Amino acid sequence: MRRLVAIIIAAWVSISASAAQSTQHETLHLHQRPSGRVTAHFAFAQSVAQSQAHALDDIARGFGIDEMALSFTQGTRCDSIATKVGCRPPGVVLWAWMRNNHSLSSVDTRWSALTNALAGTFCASLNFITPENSAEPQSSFTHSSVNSSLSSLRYASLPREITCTENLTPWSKLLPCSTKVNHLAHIKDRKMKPYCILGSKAGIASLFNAYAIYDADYHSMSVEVSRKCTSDTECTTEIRQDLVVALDPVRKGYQRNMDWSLQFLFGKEVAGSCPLNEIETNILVTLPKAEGFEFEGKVKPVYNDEKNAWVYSLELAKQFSMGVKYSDSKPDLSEKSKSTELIQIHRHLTGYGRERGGIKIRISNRDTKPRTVTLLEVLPWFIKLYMHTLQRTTYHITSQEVLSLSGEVVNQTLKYQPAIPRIRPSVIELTATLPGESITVFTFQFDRAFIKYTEHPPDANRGFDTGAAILTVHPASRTEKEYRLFSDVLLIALPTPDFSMPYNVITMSCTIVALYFGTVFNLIVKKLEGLDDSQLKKKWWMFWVKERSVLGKK
Amino acid sequence: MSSLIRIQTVSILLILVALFVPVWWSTTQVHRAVLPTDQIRALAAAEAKNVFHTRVAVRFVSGKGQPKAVAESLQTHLNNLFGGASFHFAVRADASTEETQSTSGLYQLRIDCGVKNIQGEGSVKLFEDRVVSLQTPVECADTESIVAQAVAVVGGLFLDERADFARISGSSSHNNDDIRKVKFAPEYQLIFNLMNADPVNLLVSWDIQAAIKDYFQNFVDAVEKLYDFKIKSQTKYFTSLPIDPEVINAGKDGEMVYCLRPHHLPHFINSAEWSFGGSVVSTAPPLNFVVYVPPHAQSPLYIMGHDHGFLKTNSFLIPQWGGISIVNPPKMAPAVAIHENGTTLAIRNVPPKWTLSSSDLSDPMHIFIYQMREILGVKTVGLGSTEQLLPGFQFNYESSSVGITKWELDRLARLTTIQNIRNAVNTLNSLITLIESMEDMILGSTEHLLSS
Amino acid sequence: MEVLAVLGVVIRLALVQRTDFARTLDQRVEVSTPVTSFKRMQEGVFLWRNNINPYEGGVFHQAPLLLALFHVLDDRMIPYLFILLDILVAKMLVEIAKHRALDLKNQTWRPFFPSKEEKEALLAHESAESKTVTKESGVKKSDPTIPTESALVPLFVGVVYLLNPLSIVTCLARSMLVFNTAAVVTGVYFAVKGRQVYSMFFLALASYVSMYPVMFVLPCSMLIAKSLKVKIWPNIIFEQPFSASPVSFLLFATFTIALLGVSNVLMGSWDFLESTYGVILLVPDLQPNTGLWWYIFIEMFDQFRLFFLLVFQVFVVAFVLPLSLKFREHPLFVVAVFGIIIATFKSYPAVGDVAAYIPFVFMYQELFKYMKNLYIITHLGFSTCILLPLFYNLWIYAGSGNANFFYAITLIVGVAQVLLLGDFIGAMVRREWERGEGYAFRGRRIEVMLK
Repeated sequence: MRRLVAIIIAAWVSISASAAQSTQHETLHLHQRPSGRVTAHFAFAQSVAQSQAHALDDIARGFGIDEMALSFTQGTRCDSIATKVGCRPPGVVLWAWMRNNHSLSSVDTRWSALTNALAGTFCASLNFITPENSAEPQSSFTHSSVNSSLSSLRYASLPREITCTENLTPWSKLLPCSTKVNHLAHIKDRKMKPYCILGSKAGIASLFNAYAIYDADYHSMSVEVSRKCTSDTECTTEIRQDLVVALDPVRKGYQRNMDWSLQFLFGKEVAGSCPLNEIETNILVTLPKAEGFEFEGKVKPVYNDEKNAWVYSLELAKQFSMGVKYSDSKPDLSEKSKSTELIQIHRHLTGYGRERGGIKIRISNRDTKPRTVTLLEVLPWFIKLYMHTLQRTTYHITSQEVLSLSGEVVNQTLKYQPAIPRIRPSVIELTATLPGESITVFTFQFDRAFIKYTEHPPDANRGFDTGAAILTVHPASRTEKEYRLFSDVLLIALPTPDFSMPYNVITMSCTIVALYFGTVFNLIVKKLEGLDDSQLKKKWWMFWVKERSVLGKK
Repeated sequence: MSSLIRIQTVSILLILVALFVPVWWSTTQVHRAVLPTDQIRALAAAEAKNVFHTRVAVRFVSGKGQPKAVAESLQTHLNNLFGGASFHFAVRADASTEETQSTSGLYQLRIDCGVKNIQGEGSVKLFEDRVVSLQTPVECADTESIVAQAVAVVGGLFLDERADFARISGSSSHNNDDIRKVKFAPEYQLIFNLMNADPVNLLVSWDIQAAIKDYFQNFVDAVEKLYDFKIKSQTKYFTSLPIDPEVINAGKDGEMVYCLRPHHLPHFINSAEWSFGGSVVSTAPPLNFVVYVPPHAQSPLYIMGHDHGFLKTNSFLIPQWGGISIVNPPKMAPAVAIHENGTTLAIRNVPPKWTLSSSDLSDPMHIFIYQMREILGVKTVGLGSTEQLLPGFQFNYESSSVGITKWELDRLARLTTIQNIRNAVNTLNSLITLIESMEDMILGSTEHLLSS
Repeated sequence: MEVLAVLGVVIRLALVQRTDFARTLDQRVEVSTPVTSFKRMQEGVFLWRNNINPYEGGVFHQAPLLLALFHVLDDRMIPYLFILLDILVAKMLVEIAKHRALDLKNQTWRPFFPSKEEKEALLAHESAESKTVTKESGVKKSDPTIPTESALVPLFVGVVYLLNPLSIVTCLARSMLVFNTAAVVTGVYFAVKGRQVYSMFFLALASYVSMYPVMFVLPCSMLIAKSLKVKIWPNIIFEQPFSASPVSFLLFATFTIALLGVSNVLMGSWDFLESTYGVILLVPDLQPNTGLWWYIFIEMFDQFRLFFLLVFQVFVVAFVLPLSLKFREHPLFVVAVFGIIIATFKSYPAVGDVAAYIPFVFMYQELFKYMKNLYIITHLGFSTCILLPLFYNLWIYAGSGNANFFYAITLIVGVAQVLLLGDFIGAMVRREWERGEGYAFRGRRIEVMLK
């Protein structure tokens, strides 16, 4: 009886308990596509109050950041339908809105301090972000909740940055429910394969297994920070962390079929829900088929119509695992199972040789109505662009006939900031209207610069990676939101000199200069003197020389 | 003519070469900026002459006696005692009815003459705000003995400090106090951490804002002139100890009690898993104070001292880092949360919540203040030497409500000044030695060096 | 001869019709450089039309007045403008050559008087060989020691320029060097005529477009002084004092400042200075060309860069005064020599520079017989013309060669031009010596030695 009362009192207390000072919430969404690939999307959201200590909150407050997004991605085979966050390009992408008049330092000083602080926080070499590859886009990141007259935007990307456990560990330490498990005390089941230990003791982050994540076709780990201020001193920082992993049970298992389970994919079970969450933690599962499968595991899910997914709820302190078994578990690899987004962008290089080239960007619009898009290209300074060669061609999507554009469709604005060598990159922002059901192709040419000996990276013949182009699709109606698509990353090989030659080149070139100098100096300064034949000392072998004189004299 | 040409050509080229050599010289030399070497070397010699000018105001409470004579004589005797090293005293006499404000560097000596206590001897009381009162049975007219006692009192207060200064300026040996103290910085980050080892079974939260306001803020305000504190708090979950505490069968009911022995304590902090770094944005050094709530499986947790008895405070200090206080949780029953799910009520298990209110935190806060004093290097100002000189006298000390008395604050300020001067002079001198020994090193901007 | 000249023009007109040929030529590094490329001019015009400062980026490095010119010109007219300029250059060259021919005809040789008997024997000898004397050379028949030389045909010099494939290629590629050459040649023409103001204006224009024609101011002012003093070309006495017209320097400075001022007004700021003259002086754009600079500055470490830049720039201008002093009676020769020096050692040379000085060299045909290495130089020229594009292709397109191949050929180009320089100057020194001091050694087999 006393126990019951205690329970009821505790229950009442917990319902009416005041909200904790910082709130958090997490969800796991597992989406399987007809081809068998399972995309696991871990979404964590937390809000940090004014006086709390959190590394990202510190950074946001110290640098006057309104909004910031940082993503570490590897792999290009991302299924954009399966991830709500959208596909990100390989490498690191960072953009931040910073207040113009925060403290006494300029936005640029704070931007480089920000990249260095983030480099330290995430153990990544973000310090390679310098003014040489940072841009300030004007029209590509609009419609956010930031007042662009008070804040400035900075954007940079490092396409060559590799992501690994070294980055995942500090990222997962920022999760509220996380700490490294003390593996000496807590490995009970020695039959489990050894797994790289990180993540947390509770919540969906307990599924993190570095071997599984970094074996995936595509994985992307991102942080989004935004500060909301109700008054000047009362500000909360909202932090969103997402980890998207695209795992392939068809490739992984021996049976080559679509059956999968959490144990199979991650090698672990979920260790109950995180006790810090106010609302319950859900695991949503979306399957490609509506029937012909059954769920394994002790708990059965409930189907939710509006989310179009099967929903599991995690319980506190209870291990959780689930799996799916199909009656016909052959994957469907046909074309129709591939993603069909409304707007797609592809970008590639044209031309041959290492002297010049061209870039071709193809944007297809499957929608029936015209859409306005903004294309943002940030290209490094050693790509010397010729924007007068920019050309646009529009085809119909099925019949391939060239459409002649008229009216507002022709209305196309180009904002171009030319690159200053070794100081800033070229920034192109092209706003155009795409007609319905069309493919639009933009092409322009560039020259490849011949850069100095010391500016080549150690693997000079590999070339330089350029960051992805960002296509911002503006909302067509008021209910839609703008979203961003990222294109492919380009690898541009620059002409290389011979790296073994510095001394030789200097000596040979200076020899020619010395040759010229010596010859001309001698000719100017010295006097000509004639030596008569009679003064000529004839050597024994000079038998052909005849002494001769016009005047007949010998 | 050709010789003229020759002369002209050669001279033109020589002129070009002559113009060119300084250009070559300037573009290929190692850039070394100018440094005030002599000034820096002279600093070391000047250091020994650092003297604190201290003022003492003498006041006779009862109005009888000769304050001016006492003041003059006191000044002479004190300056003889200290010999011009470290301290120089300027003593003035105040009227008996005047009340003086307490300012740093000015100390008041109140003499109550002709008063006997129970044993027939006098008493000395050290008040909090820079006042020391001497109650002596000697007659007020007996200036000499009053002065002798006053010298013992006032001199005794500052003799320890002089010993400290000598130690700092002299050798570089450290004693325990120096190791415990954190390096001086004008700004510190104070981070209060709540470690909740097992949130699944007990979710702990605390009202730290109120607790800081109630207990800690006064201390922070008192040392405002020396240090600037940025105070933050955070809660960390799933923080399990890297060590296993011992199980002891103790307590009245024979219940199981967990304890940590002294040799466990250095391994208490799990630096691999608990991240205590300060902010990446500021360079102020962090000081961490931890309230650790052990899991049910390991509670109640006590710390055992060297004498095999449990510590009353259940806390310990980590030198130069901060302090830890263990607060044992009560046993709580599991709880449920009920929420509406359409038409049904869904019940799910939630961990029971325990909130530490400001009054719950009063004990840990007081311990933290004491640990803070140790870490900052606050030394108590006592009358130890005076006790030997004035046997039979009673000595009373008034304690501070804030956590630090003004005497201690002044002593801390002086000590920190001397130490900083010493460190700065040492650093500059070793920097100059290094630069002089490396001829080829490029010296760029010297703004920082010159401004220091 | 006229037929050949017209042929040169017709070739240009015919090839201009194939626009892709022009674009291909414009893309060849031997023909167009970062400071003379037509594609970059198009980019500059595009940027300016769209209100972006064309001098901000690293693409456009050409003079503002040229930018303004191409801004207003119609696209279809541009190739014909270049052909017109070429025709103008040829015409000017012919006029200059006419003066040179007169000068050659009136060249005085220090008389060589043998004894009376020898004189008769000489006359008899000469009348026996009178049929073999080819052209009249204005030489006193009585002095057979003077070599018989054919007169200079002025039109030939023009034909040399028009039919030179290097200049055809430069014209078709629409390289800005044509403006450079035209301004320099016009400046020299007016200097030869004695028109100070016009001459200095065109030279200021030439050095405004690219910096190195500043070197021509000194010989042109010498030409002006000479033609102002004497009405006809020279009655040259040996060992004349050095004379230059000081007013011309002032005029040159004034015109340069005026041009820079107009550019400032046009562009609204002085930014263009860093992007035009800064590029010529500091060489930040390291595109390969036929010169010596690009590879050494690619491979150079940063701490020595400034020093070597200074050294290379100084070497170009170091011999301006000495050469002018030494050859003060032949300022046109000094112009030719400076042309060779600039073409070899300027920071962004191209084949157009070579095409510019060859006519001036051909005005001194009488020196060819004194030159020893002419055969080697011509063959080196031909072979480098073939090998340069070949090795460039191997490096950049085929990927089977590396930069050293192309660099070696540029070294050969440098060597060939240095040989030409040495030979040319040596020939003039020899001839001058024979005209003057060395008269006693004329006609005899001798060895000459430099002491």
